[in-house]
Amino acid sequence: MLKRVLAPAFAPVHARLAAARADTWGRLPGPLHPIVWFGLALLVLVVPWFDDTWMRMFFLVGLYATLGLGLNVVVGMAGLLDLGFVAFFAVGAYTVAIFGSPVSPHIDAELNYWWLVAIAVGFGALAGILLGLPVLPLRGDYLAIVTLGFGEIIRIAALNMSDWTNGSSGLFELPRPGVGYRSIDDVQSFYVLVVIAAFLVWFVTSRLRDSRVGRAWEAIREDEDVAQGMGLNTTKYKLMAFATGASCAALGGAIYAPFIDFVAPQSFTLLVSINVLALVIIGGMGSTQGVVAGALILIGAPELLQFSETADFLANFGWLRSVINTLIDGLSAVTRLDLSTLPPAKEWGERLALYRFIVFGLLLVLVMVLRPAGLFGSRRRSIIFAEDEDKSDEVGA
Amino acid sequence: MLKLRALVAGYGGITAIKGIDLHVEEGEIVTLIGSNGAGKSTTLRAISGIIRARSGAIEFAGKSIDRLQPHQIVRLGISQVPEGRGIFARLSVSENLSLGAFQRKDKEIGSDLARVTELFPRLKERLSQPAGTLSGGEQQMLAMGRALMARPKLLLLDEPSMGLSPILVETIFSTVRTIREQGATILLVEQNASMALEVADRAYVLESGVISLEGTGAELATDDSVRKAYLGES
Repeated sequence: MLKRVLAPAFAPVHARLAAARADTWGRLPGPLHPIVWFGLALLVLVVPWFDDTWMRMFFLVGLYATLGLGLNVVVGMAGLLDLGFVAFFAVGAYTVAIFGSPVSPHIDAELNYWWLVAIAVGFGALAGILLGLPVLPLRGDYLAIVTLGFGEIIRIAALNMSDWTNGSSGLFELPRPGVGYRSIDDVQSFYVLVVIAAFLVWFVTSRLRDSRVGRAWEAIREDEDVAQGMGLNTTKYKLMAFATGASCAALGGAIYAPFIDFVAPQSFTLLVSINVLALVIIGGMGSTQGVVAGALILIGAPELLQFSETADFLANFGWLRSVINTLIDGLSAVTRLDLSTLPPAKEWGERLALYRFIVFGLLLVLVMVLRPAGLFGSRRRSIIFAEDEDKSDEVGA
Repeated sequence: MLKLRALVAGYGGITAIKGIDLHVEEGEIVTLIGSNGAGKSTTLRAISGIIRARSGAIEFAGKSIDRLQPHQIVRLGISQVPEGRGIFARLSVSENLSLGAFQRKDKEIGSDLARVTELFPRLKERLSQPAGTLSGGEQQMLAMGRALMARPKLLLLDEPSMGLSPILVETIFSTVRTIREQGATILLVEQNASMALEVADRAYVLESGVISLEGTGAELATDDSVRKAYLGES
């Protein structure tokens, strides 16, 4: 209804946008779907309903989604396998920490937090280009190994350059993000901040994907030699992919730093790189929903399995226990097996928390076996195939 | 239009071409025939800048191009159809074609797209299909169409007949003629010597990295040594 009233007012704008879109590369996505905005509103509105433990989990999911969206540019779009993504996350966090923390011996810039974020993103992009330059001629496995090394170099450098980074004791008392006179201190606000960052990264990367640059990245992913033969400056576009991905990671790092208020080398291990890569793959390479779903599973699930709420919830399944135990007793009676019976349902949560990484690993294996292309395939691919189906329908009719 | 002088190029420790001279004049179809490993593809890759010439000179339209980057060479008007087609399998046919026009910013890309799909009607039916689902012949047409989207002055064709049925080979070669009639110059590398010599104005025979023979297409087609070595006659 509202749309019908407003439509005439926006018609010229829409026409101009459509013309601009047709001018560039044809099929760019339309304006944001209302459901997306609804989802964004909902994400922020759920905040008061959860306690800090839950919000911490949501924050981490949002943070990893931000990182995943950044890595998606490098791995999913440009096809450059980067195993050292944590390096850029560390660059972002350390930029905020070194410039902002009074513990840092050399620099006491006392800059506003938001300026530090901008500097961190810039440094991230710079680090991306610096890594990109030496690895330009490398492909596939070789690229993966060198980036792996780069991730470790940054961590070890942070450990040893204690003049700047305070070594393994880390940097703390970081500047807090503030809006007006109110500084952000609670988990809820950090969550809102990270959701905004994730949306920003999503917006930028998805627009890039559907632009000329995205097309160039995909060509490089498919066949770098031929892309070069088509007249693409592959050096430029590969460096752009590294820089874009790295600045997203640095943005994540810049938000993570004041959140934990302690930046030390032990937070930037290989495991972070692997987690981010795994969530991109589990979710489905090149897909935005996939990255968010991947972050929920990979980062959310292990936390969720040890929440007391989960244990309380499982305690409701006491009836299931008696059913299963009867079966087990029956089996033990008939066969020579000596199976132990299940513990009381009250203890299930505790046991689950204990074995959560086994459950988690099982979950990952299941996803990859059942959906080898990830939970969500790339959206662009599904558009192409959907159009094909439409056509074959027409032929059939 | 294109001149190679004492060109030497190779990969790592291997020197694949050892000082070759050849020239292509505007409007010609020139073919480079030779057996496997003679250095045919290497020559094309050196011209398009994907590998660096070790020594010698490459001149295009009076300008030295042997120190240019591949994308700069494409901008000058040389585009290539790589060996084995090299289509972007997971992109759609129309995306493949638009990538051919990546360097162009003019308004005529749309009309060129129409021209290419007119030349290859099979592609028109499959514009939104992922290129990897095309047949071998269609992929070859796509690779050629994509190269034409750059509006090349010189088109480098690397073994367009490879792996295609005889009927498709005929189609491809008659298209090569059509492309020339539409104003492009063509340097064609082929193992299928009989077809290549039939379509070419002039030809070079490449043997282990050096040019052993040159002449018009008709001359070489009747040359005894060529007939023995490349046309399968005794």
